[in-house]
Amino acid sequence: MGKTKMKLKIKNNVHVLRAERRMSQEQLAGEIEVTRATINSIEKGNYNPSLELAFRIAEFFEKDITEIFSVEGRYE
Amino acid sequence: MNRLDRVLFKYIVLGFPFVVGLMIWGGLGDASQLSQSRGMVRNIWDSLGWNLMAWILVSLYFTSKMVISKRFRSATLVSATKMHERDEREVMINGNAAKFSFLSTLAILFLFLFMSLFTVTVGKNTDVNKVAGEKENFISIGLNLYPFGDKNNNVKSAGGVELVNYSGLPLSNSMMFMFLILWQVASFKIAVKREESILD
Repeated sequence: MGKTKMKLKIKNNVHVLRAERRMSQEQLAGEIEVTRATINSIEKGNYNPSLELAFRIAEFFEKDITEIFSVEGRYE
Repeated sequence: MNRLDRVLFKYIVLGFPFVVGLMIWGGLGDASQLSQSRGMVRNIWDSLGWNLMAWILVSLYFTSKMVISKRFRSATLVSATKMHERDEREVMINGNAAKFSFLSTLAILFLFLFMSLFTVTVGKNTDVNKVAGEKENFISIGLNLYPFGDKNNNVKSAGGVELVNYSGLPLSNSMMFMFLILWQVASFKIAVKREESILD
């Protein structure tokens, strides 16, 4: 019942940036004040962070938000 | 939660086994005989009785405060249901789980309401109450819509021999409330686990 919504598939390279800095998920989670499970979900692409958290991640890695998060495709 | 409330909460949890113990003891033995006994048995029986009274009063205070105070409710129930809201992902998981829990509980409440509303009687007409031309068997369907009192007292007999008589849910009020509380907590926990498995 109801209309199906078009969703965006968002990819990110958080795991690459984290690996470059030789950080564990736990350490990154501590730095941006979230749980390790949240970092794991973001890296796997199972959870899209809020705009605020995305900015916090970008700020931490000293990158532009679009350098970390980008649209990969669309799905229903 | 202030220090007094924390102490009282611990008392509710730790005192509960003694309340259950008293209920079992009173159920198995003769309560009137126990209250007239002497010595150690009498002392234990009296202590458990005082504990029961105190436990009921503390529970009443606690549950009333939970209804009135939002802050107290959050502090108590969040820790009792082990709800985590450490970041936005957990807030989202809890939100989805709360939605699932609310809707499923609402569906159960509708089912309970419907099941407590109608009455069905299937029976056989005896020769005494049988009117000429009336059939041998009968089925009677009715609605119980009484805001107060015991509904069973208001159900009129259809006459004859009743083979099947359904007049509302065969559960006591306490059992129904207990089931709803357990369902609410269990459905929330199940939904949290399901959401976590999707996101992990």
